[in-house]
Amino acid sequence: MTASAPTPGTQATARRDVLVRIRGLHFSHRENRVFDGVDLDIRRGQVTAIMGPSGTGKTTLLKLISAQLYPQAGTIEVDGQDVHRLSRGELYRLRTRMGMLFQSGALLTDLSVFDNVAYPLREHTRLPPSMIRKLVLMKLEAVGLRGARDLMPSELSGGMARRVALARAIALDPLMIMYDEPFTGQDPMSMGVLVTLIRQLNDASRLTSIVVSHDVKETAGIADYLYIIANGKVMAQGTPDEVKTAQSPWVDQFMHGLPDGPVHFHYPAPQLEQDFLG
Amino acid sequence: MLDSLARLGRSGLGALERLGRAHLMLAGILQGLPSLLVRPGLLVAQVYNVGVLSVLIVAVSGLFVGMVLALQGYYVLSQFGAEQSLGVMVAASLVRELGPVVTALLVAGRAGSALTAEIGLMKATEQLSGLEMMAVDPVKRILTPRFFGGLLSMPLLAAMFSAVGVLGGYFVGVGLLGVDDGVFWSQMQAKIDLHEDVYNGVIKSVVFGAAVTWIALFQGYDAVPTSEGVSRATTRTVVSGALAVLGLDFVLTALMFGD
Repeated sequence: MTASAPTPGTQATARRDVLVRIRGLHFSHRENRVFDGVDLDIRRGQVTAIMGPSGTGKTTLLKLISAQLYPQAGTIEVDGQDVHRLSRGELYRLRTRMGMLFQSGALLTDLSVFDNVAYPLREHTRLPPSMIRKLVLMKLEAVGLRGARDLMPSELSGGMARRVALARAIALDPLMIMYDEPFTGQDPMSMGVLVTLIRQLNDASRLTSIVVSHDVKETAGIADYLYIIANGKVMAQGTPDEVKTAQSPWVDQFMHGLPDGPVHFHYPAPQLEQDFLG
Repeated sequence: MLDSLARLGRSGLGALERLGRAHLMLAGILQGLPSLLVRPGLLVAQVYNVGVLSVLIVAVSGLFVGMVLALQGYYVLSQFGAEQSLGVMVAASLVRELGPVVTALLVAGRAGSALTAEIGLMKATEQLSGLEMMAVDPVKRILTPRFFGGLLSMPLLAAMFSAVGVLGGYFVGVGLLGVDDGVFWSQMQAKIDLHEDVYNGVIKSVVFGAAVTWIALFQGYDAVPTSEGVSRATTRTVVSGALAVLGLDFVLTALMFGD
């Protein structure tokens, strides 16, 4: 099969197929260059994973996509809108269609589980209390915590808190959900529940999911597409199988968790003899 | 030499930047007033948190300050044979000065530090970012009710401090030291002026309420989101709040009573 140049029609279709489009992203925090010309597409309806070692700016990328941070250069479009050129009102309207699951859950600690999930509904809709109750219970049922509705956040385990936060994130039936390190610090059972929930919610609710994580096995297990980020650039991308078999020593070291390789085990230091023998 | 100048310049610019952020935050808080009026329950909750929960410490402090004022005042006034003016002295000191100032210092220590810790911890646990992501403005939703809660509570607490202080002065002056009951109250009634004394005291406490609450909220909102950062912010609230109250008190007193 010979490759042919894409026609304007196919380009437009491909563009509509992309929910989040990042081009030429440059972002620095003080002296630290976090992103140095990143291009990235998140396709609608897919679970896309952004992976990379700690400190490579994965969470920063989510904050840039949700316009909590502003880049020095480059554009980020969500559903065709350049998020960094929107007015505050337009940005807030867009955010009602974006859910985000924070690493800590970010539940409001003075509200019960029920009230936390009801919060966005009460803020942004004029639904009667009986309808809000039904919707909240449906969302809690989806994450398996309908019975925990009266608990306070301090009474929840880490895994339960993230599931409540997930129920809150889907309360307004958003277009997309961003997961910030959803598996960190979870026991195997909670992790299994979260892995299953992310995939099932994505498919059942026709969402688009962006999962930021460095848990290779779990993330690669549910993702349709992977981006590996390091040193401010996209180091590899593709389906999980493509990335796992990529011919790059660096990607190979990261995906298989090897202690030494292009990224050295030792932090740069003077010669050992020099330190010990003077 | 150049390094020192550069450091000085950097810290000066940093201070100006913080001042700018504090004013932007205040502008955001004031813009949130209309939405607060639609949900008065949020304001009531904060008047409870800042005001009602401070009643005990303010009332007990007011009682002791009034009692000490009466003791000290009696011994000074009696040297001039003017001990019958004790009621006026106690009331004027409390209403004009000590009521607003000591109440503001107490509120900065109790409610101000609690506000900073609460907001700082909300920031550290990403609750404020969570609100942003739910398309809810945390300044309007979280800070505005707390600011106006503090603003409303301060004059009420100061009034309570002064009233309890006058009672404390009465117990000591009339009950222990033998000042005439009727003279104590009648002199107070005759000499304390509603505009000159009471209104000026109320103005002071409103200004102190705004300053203390603004400082507390800004320190929490601007805190480094770590346990150490929140701890430092809480300390800064108490120190800056107390200094601001004392500095503003001098300025206001000079404007109100200086000729």
